Amino acid sequence: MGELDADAQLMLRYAAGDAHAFDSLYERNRAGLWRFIRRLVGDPAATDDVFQECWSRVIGSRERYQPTARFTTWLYRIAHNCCMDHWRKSGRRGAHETADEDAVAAAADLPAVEPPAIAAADEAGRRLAAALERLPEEQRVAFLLYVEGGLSVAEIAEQTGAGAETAKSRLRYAVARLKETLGADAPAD
Amino acid sequence: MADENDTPVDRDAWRGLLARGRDKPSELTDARIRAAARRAVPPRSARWWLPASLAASMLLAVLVVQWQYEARGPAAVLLESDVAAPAVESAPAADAALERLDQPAPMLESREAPRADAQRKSEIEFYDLDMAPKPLPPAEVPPAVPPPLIDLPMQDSRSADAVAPNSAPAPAASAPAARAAEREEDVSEIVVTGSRRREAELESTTPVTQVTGQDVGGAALGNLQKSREAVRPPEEWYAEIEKLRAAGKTREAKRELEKLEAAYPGWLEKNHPPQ
Repeated sequence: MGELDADAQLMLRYAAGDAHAFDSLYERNRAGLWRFIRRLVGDPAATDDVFQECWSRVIGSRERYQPTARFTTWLYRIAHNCCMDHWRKSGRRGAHETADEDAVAAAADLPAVEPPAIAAADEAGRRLAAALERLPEEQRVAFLLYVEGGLSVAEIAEQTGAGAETAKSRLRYAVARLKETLGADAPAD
Repeated sequence: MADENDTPVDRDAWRGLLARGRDKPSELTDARIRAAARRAVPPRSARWWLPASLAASMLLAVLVVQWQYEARGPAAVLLESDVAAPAVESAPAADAALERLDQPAPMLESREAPRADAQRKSEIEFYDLDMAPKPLPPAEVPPAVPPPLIDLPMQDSRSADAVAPNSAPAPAASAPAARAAEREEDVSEIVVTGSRRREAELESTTPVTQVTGQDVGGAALGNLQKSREAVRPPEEWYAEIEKLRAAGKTREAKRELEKLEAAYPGWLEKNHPPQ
């Protein structure tokens, strides 16, 4: 890795004892990480627990942190692991778990669930959140890791334990489904 | 925008769309996480405060010890030498001990300073008045003679009275001589530092650091005689020698003549040429 990104520098400063660096680091990543966990976990209370657990792991591993990749890659890997731990503890996976990538079409037929936490969001955002809720978990994870976490397809494959092609396919299916739901409000690629 | 793996996903656009929602962690959650982060890292002030306080404590301890040492004087060092140094009474070590007499003994002086002043004063009177091995009465000693033992170290103080009876002629030495002999024995046993528990080590090879009263007295009297002879007028000296001759003490008279010749070279040949 070449020049350190700003987040990695902040993390190194925090590891060296600069508590203010953590404040900056947290402020830069809190919203995106919260959305990531919120979209994966679903339940607001569980989201809060997983969110705090994720940052606790960041704090606890500050002295072992090595900036071999972008900080967000490392952070979202931790977050994803926390989500999986939460699923294991709670004994259930995501609300629309399917291992089959071809279940995208079936998922599209499920009734839309409006999360109360995003009721005040604008219409496009609300529809996107609802569409994400209906995605299979693997596709949702791949999409969120790609968009919010900034991970590459290869990194998503490594993190999820899938092959690169599988990860790429999951991402493609997720984007297709979301575009279909959002229609004209979907970002133009 | 094309992805690195040809996945046509515009990250920023999708992220912007996701961020439109007001979904975010609560302020309580933010406060908890920030507090946990601060607890995990000790404040910077504590990082320098701890070693600084340790250094200050060390410095304070050193200063207190130094202050106490200066206040009490080097008594501890003296006690150490007392224990370590054996007394020496053997004759072969006397020469070495006499050489050391010229060196000051500050540790002993500091410990027995109050008593030393009184002893030194009485010592001077003692040598001047009674015990010096001189044929002349004490009154004849010129007042210009400096106190002979004033520069001697403290070790001399207790031993002087033991030496004088031994070397000085004892005119009436019946009962006083016995007492003097007794005192000599006592003094010869007294080591300067007073440590007797190491007497068993006297024959060891430990370097000699103490002398007996006999050693000290002999050296002191020698210095005293030399100083007196050096300032005695030759006429007066020669008269005393004549008295010795008259008394039949030819050997002593001859010895005194040699000393007179050494002190005033050529004076005898000039004023009293040999017949």
